[in-house]
Amino acid sequence: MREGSRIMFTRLSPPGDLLARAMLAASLVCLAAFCVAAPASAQKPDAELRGITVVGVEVEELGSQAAACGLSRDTIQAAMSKVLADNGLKVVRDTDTDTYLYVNVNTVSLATGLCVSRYDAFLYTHVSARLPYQDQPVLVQVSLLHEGGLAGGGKAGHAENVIKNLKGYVEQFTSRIRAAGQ
Amino acid sequence: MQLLTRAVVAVFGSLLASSGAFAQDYLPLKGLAAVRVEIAIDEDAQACGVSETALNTVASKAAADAKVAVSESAPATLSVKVMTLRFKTMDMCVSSVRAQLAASGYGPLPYGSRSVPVTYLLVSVSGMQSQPKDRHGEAVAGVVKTFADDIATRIRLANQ
Repeated sequence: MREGSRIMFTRLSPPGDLLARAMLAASLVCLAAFCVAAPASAQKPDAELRGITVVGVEVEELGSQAAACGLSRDTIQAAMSKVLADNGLKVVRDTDTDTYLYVNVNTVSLATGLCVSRYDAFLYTHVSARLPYQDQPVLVQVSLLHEGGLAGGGKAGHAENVIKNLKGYVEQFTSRIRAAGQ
Repeated sequence: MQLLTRAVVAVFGSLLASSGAFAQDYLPLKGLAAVRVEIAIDEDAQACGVSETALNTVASKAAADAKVAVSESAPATLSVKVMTLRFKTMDMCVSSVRAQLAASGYGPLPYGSRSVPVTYLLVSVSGMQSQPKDRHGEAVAGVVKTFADDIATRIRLANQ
């Protein structure tokens, strides 16, 4: 997209996580018998988000090239925490919480002065579960939501563009959590 | 040429070398004998020489080399996603590559009382590549090979 005198390219991943959606669809088919018997509330869209009220926030450390392109871990952490809190979720920091927003930004600074960042927002939780190929439950990470994109352009405005898009993703997450809880 | 690969590896957040940590981190992979391979690339990636077929071959070979079967009916999916920006005026391509191993299931979550369909994330690795267009496809395939080798090796080691 073109913004003023700057040229920025932004590539967004398709809505939702393709893998997660495909696997959830497959699991729904395979587990149809269970689903038929399951309570109606478990079959609603985003049933896996129902009940989330507290989340942690973890922003992966940024590399030197991200910093050179104006990105700051603290700024991202504060922006994401604010979106979550503004949308009614309790945000906890520096504690072990099962459910957390994980933000990862990888940046390449090209010799021409261009910055390109891959940015992702995930909502994860941990459970003890028995995997389809195992006999005993193990502690495993669950991917609840994921959105990500790729942005490139001049250094000016790069960080703002990345944070704006990340905030958009987290707002989507909170909307879906809120809708799932209704 | 600027070549940069940054990998972020997340198996419960870290790569741990000690045997105790290894045993704990690789428990979710124990018993996994086969994976399904799924590749997704965008239009710019294709324009930059990235081939879905080539990546599928690379990932499948990495699994086979580690004695992990590749099957459409496998209980876990090794997915590779490539998202690319092409800078035509500079003849440059920049790609993000993410490889994930995930399995689907059904169970309760910590904040809910009912069982729901869920996606278990077993391994996630990601990085970025930037090259001139004529070398980009090969470089991305190299990264996918590295990531797929890493994931397949973890599966093999978990099952030794």
